[in-house]
Amino acid sequence: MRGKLQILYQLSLADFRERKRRYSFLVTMIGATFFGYLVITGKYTIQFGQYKCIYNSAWAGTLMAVCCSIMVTIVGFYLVRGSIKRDRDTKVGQIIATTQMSGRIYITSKLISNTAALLLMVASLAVMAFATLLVKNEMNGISLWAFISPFIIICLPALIFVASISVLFETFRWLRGSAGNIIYLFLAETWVVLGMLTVPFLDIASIAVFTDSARAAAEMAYPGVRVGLIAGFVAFDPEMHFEVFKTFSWNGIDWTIAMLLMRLQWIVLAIAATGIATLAFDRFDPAKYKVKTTRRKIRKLLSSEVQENHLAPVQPGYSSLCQVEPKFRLAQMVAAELRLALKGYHWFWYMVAFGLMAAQGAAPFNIARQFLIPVSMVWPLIIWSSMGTRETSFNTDQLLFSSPSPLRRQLPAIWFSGFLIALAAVAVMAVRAGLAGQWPYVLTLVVAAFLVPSISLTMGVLSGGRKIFEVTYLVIWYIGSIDRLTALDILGTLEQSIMASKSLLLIIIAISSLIVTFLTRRRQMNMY
Amino acid sequence: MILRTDHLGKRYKGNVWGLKNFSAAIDTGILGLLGPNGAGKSTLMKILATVTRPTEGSANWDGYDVAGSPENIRRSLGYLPQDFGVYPNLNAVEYLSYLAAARGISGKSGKRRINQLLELVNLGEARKRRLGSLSGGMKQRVGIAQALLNDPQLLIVDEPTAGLDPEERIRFRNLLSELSGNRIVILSSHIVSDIEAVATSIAIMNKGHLLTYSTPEELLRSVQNKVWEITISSIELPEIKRTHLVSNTIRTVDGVRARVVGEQEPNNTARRAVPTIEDAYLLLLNGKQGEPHEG
Repeated sequence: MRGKLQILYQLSLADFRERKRRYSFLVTMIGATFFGYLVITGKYTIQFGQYKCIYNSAWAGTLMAVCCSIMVTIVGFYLVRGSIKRDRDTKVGQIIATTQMSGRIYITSKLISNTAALLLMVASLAVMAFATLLVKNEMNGISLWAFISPFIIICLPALIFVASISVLFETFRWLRGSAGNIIYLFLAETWVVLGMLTVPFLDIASIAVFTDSARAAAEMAYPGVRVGLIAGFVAFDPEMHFEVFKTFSWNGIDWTIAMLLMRLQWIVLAIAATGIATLAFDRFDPAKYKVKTTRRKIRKLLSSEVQENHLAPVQPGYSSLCQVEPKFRLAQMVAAELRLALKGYHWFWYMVAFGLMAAQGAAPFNIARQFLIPVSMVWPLIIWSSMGTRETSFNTDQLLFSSPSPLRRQLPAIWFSGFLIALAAVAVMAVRAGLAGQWPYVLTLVVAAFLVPSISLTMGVLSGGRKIFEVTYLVIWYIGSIDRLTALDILGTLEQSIMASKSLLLIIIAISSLIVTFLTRRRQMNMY
Repeated sequence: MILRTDHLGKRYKGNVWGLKNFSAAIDTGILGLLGPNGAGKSTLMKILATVTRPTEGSANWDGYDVAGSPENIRRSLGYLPQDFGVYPNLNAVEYLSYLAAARGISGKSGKRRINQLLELVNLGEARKRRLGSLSGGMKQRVGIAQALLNDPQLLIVDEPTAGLDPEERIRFRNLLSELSGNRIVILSSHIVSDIEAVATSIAIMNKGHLLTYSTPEELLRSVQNKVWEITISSIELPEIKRTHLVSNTIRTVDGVRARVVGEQEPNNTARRAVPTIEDAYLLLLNGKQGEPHEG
């Protein structure tokens, strides 16, 4: 037993060390710190109309713990996933598979490592919140337990659960890629929103528990008043800006056994998810994750093997090969990039893509605008997120960087292929809007098609991976175009989201990001 | 057409020199780079292929500085890195078409050349198979084909025979020989026999330094009368290995026939043997231990 624990500890530690030394982890921590800043400054918060709790230990701790739990639930999954994939990609997994280590130990070590990474993030935010409390405390003295207990009772179960789901998704082939990212986002949003509204056992971030308790305190302080509530980016909501707030005192959640059991449930679910992940773990057996080959394909492969082995075709001599006169054509390069970007997906993917384009033409205008366009602009996510990363992930960078003018040839071609795909995704709707004379909306769609491949290429080149763009874009897309926060709605799903100044700003962002991409790629080419 | 390097050096993070003070004038023919792991062969090739920039010194191709004006050499370059990847969802034709487009090769002649190259590397029958389903050796042959797409005047191939079966290795050597007439080919390999078979000049490197740069004949002359064959019992072998440089051993019915490289004959039963490049390579590596080549 002690030996197993020792192995578990060493594995988890090695995985955690590997993870925290990655550049992407640094970016993650900077992102988490920025989130902490948004919470501390009240830009992202939970607000009770014009009623404001006195800044004390319970409020500072609980608010940050709840906000952290929301962040971890929605974004944390993306930040920690990929450790099994890394072992698979680096072939370390095949070495691990030949050792005596059980799948249970391996999967548990990934859970622990994921949890540790999320814990580090939350701990840094807790420190930020505590430092702020020291400055802003409106009560006499600080209650350490009132501050720290929400992190233990609210955050810890949530992050263990998210860490386990991340491992679970990695053990199922069909959940490993971008499809898993999209599915998870919808699941997480459902947990958070339903939990907050009506279904207590889905309240992963304890939002309802927290707000019910604080609201009760406010209503007790101001009898007869119905206290409103908003959670999220309050800074973007002008209705939540008040000159003067009425204050009330709140001393933290009064935890009951039932409430604590609700928190415990997430740990139990995490254990169950880890158990399922252990059962589903293929131990890096390549036969289990290679693309399934049909009988027809097998026959074809076998026949070509036979021909290759036994017919030994006569080769021409090198000097007899035809000569070529190199002359670069951008269209040729864009076509090659498009082929590369669009090849290799399941037939279902293409079917849905074409179906969405057709539906944009057939559906009522507002349905197409509010639902079909957002879906059309997330469906090619996997293509955009691969832009700028393929050279690194497929190890073709040396071949491409030693070709003539890679910065002037290949890089623009990658962007252009992404732009064409984005244009195709919105084309039918843009034509329809044009015919209806809605030119501002047409401009919004074209600007979105310009922006999305631009930032995806930048993030891909900067990070070398797909995750940062996928997380960033999915969050903006969801908050803006699904939750309809007009400031972030780049697709113009609502009329009030369309502003000339916003379009101009997005064009500036896109062009700036392309300049950053160019400079970064040039630096990378000189860095080897 | 000449490639010159002048005190070329590359320093990596942690003040580790991957290449130091490499000066040579490389003319048409095949230059074989020999050296153990970490000798600096791949670093040199990456600098010449414009994939990495030198920390010091310069390389010059047809009058142009390689680092300062990489476009000049890139137009004439075919490069096969030691570790390169493929796009698994593309087939060989699509993959080569992609890389051809990056090099400005297109049109019907481009397509014809791709098909001919695939025939040349014996992948004609597998041209439509997903690269992800090909064996390591077959992928390596796709890599060889891509390096020849633009009929390069400078061909740099880093460990090209890795993963090839013996038949394909011989085919590749023959191809290199055919190519070498009017272009520069730089070939690195751990396998001395690959270099021995095709190289018109050989550079031996160790720990980032150039130990020698000469023709195979000169290299062989340097070990003339320094290679011995002795037949000893198995029990004596460890002692001989400890005291002498043994380049090869063969079990025979009389005991072990050992090939010993050194100035002195190992014992009075020793017979002189015909030297090989491998003998010269071993003597140089073990004798000089990384002492740099002057000149």
